[in-house]
Amino acid sequence: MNKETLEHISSLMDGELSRETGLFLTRRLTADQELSGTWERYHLIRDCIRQPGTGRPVVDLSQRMKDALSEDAAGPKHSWSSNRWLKPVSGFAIAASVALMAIVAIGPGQSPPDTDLASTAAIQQFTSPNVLPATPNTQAASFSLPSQRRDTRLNSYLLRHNQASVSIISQGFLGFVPIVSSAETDEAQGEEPGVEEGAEVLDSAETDAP
Amino acid sequence: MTHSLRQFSSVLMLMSVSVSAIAGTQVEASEWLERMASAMNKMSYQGTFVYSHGTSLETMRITHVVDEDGTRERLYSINGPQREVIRDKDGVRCVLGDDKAIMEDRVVTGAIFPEIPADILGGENGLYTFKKGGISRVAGELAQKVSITPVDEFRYGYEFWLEQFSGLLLKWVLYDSEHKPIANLMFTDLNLGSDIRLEELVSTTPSDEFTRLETGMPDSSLLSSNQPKWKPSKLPPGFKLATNSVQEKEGENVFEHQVYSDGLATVSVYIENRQPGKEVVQGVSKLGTANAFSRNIGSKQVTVIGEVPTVTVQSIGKAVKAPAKDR
Repeated sequence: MNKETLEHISSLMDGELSRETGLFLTRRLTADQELSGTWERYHLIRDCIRQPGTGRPVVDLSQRMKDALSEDAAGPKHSWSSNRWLKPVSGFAIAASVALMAIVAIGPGQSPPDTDLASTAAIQQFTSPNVLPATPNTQAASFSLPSQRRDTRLNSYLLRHNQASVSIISQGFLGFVPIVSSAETDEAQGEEPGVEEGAEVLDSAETDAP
Repeated sequence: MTHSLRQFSSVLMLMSVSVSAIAGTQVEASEWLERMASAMNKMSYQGTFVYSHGTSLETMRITHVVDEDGTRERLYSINGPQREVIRDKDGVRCVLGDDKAIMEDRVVTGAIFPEIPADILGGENGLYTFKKGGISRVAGELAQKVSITPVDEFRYGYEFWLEQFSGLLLKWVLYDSEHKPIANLMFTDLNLGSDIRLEELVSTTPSDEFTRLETGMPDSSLLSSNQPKWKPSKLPPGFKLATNSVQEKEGENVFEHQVYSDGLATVSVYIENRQPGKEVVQGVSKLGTANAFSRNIGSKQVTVIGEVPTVTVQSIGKAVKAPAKDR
């Protein structure tokens, strides 16, 4: 992958690429696994190195991010140095602003599926071939999802549930991660709404209820 | 001693060594988990982690401080809509940035440092197999791996990578009963003690721009620990009632919150009066890795929620019965 392509990816993340070039690059991203891997890594790197709230890079993250991503990185192992790490990363990732929206000139009021560039199909192919399991798009890359509907009722049940937790596992912040996560809530999936009385469903279960 | 007798005794000895080795690793693994719980509650730490679930990958930041002011914690998302959970001695405050909404709930005391019940460790009645794995490197630190594998489909499995000296969590993977990963979390940096920036405990949310949402939960001061009237007639193996709180009005339980646990997984059962105009969709819902099941029984609405498989919330929800006098 040449330097120009990498610069184009960075520009795409910053929304600084022309519509035509953006369209061309997006098509390439859907077909080129290496390119899509790079795209995803840039998003991950950008998300991770930003100091929250300030947009500043966290310099001492370089070594750890390298470790975290080393298995994911394509190609032979490099002997990284701070400068070598920060230079390309800062070149591409720091400059990248939050809005992938701006990338392909989709305004907030426009419907992403109307454009080839922002098609969900294209974005869905940006998956990592390696380490980050089930690897997903970064949040920024999934901007085109419909507005996330948060279920207040479920959140409040979960909030209370976590506070009353009695388990070594759900104690601590782990139990609250799903609340902070913006992953979409799936509303009821139509399970026998007519059930009215306690059905005996646990053939193999013990009766432990006091 | 004859030759065959010698062979037999050697086999017996080997078997007992293997059994005690397995028991040893189970105990060691559970000790590591208790170290983790203690470290995550008692120590002050601050870090960034990547959380992946389904098709989303998110970056979050946690600041957990224990000092003379008690325990304070702030967990927030770095990317995407502004979302955060702040916990302190007064309770929990949740900012749902995408809805421009804030939810608050006063503290409900759970066990501070719960222990892993001995009866879930291995053996015939074991609900999980605990295994102490090897040492590997996570986020630049040496980490001890600990695996918890469920024996049936009613609970999830876990893998933890814990910082070698403190026991702090560095990496976590949640598995279903077929060992398929559901979610995982990995720290990319972690600071301790004096390296923590206390200012990060303060929310940057301009609260006047946000709408306060009614959680619909009664204040914990209104709750008593009376016996639940509504309860599941059957439970998945190993689950037992751990805590119970009830809000009474004129001799009737208008709200019941029961927590069932198998020692690791926990499930809450909420039983409330149905409210006209606030009917809930019945069936299974998901909130991240948590599953919920709702149904109506007469004038009551039953909701079961927890970080357990769908079959567990569904089974418990369907087994909830009205007290005999109400049937």
